[in-house]
Amino acid sequence: MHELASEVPAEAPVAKVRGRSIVVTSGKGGVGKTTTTANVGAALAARGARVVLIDADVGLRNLDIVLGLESRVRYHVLDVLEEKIGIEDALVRDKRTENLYLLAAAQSREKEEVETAKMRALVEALRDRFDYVLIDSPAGIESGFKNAVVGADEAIVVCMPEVSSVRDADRVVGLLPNSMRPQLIVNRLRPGLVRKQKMLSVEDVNAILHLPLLGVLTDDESVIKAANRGEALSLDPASSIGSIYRDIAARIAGDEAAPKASAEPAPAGVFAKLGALFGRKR
Amino acid sequence: MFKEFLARLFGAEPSGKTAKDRLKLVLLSDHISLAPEVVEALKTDLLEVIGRYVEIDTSHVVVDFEHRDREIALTANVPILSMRDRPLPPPLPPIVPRANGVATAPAFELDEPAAPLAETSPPSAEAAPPAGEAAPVEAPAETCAPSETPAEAPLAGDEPIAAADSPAAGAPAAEPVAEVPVAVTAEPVVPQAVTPAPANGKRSRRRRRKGAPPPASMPKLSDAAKA
Repeated sequence: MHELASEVPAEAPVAKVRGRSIVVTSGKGGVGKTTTTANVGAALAARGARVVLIDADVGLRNLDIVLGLESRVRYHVLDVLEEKIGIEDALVRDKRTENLYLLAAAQSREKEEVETAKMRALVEALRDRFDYVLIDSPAGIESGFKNAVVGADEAIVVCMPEVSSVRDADRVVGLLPNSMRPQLIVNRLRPGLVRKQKMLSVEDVNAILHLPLLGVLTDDESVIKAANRGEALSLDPASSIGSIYRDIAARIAGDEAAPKASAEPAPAGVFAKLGALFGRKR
Repeated sequence: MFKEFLARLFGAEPSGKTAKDRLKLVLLSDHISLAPEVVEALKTDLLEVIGRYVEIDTSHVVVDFEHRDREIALTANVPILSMRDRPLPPPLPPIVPRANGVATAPAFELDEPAAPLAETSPPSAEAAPPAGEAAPVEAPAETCAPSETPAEAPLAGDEPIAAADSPAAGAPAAEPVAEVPVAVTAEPVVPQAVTPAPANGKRSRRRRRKGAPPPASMPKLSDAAKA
């Protein structure tokens, strides 16, 4: 641990207050953990915070792709944990945001190779240097998940409004220590379907999970386009999804006034009901 | 499209509602299965009750929760070694506090008031109070005496029946039924074989006169408490 900390060059900015460590998790795969980590991290950095993102999905590295940093990754988290390289050399700076760094996962290694105690020490060391340490957890609840959680003080649970995702989120919340006070992001909601009662609503989801709501994101093709390009939507001032991520970042930063960005549909009017009855496009 | 129209017209359930219901159910079972000590306590109680009527192989008992269509079933696989000639007397103390002042019959009777367990116990002159009738805790001595000599004391003889019927009729649903529909299956079960052959005729007839449905054969364990 002290070895890790000593790798930091003397001239590096040293945070006076230790940063917050937050794990982004979900249980189920494919619900948007990595996208959330990237976008929330970028939005926090755009607010001026120093942010490092750790990809804890060892063996299935993806966060670098979402951020468009794949070509810059030289070393990964296991190199640091095994002390082959200093933290400083393994951190990849974001191409667009000055205060945003990535510590990539190892692609050709296995989750089981990560030592839990060392992972905790790594996060502790990074908290001295950064305001936020966001940890992108792998899917599942096995060793990879445990290593992602071990260094975190807080948790964000990403959940899609569907049965399997809510069930897994419920399981994950049960595994997180209460002290982490997990908060909820409902991702990929389709308001049209919710209105027709063909999808669980945010209320339905949270009637099960009972978590403080950080924000709600609709299912939007702009997310796919941004991932194709390797750009964080939260840095795009014109993007509506990006603005929801910015609101989420504001709430994380303690701005309680930030809108919860609820994408709950307005109650359906008479015409919408009639349309639904007569089989208008479902 | 026409089918959809009809489905909407006749109020087919929106899939979001289905999702919500399924979610509730699946989480219920997740949480139940996550509490092994609860399952263990339930198993102990269950075996204690079953063990009063049949001798069971406690080392090979499997109690589990499984999904049915729209409910979660509690299944108990209880190997039976032999039938008991006579049910063991129930331990009264644990039943009394649950009764909330109302005489509450054993849990198996809850949904089958028409076929109380009393019917299944071989009546005999020297018998201890049959299991089902032991429930009216207010006056155990009274209920016991007339059932020994029903012919001599017909009037008094009605009392235990009325008392035994009361939980079914008055019946604040007793709390063990809860929200989880519970179906207990036990195998190998030989329920018909144990229906007492000796005539309990008088008591049966009296029951019928009182408007209660005819006594069924021994309630199968698999019928028990289906909410």
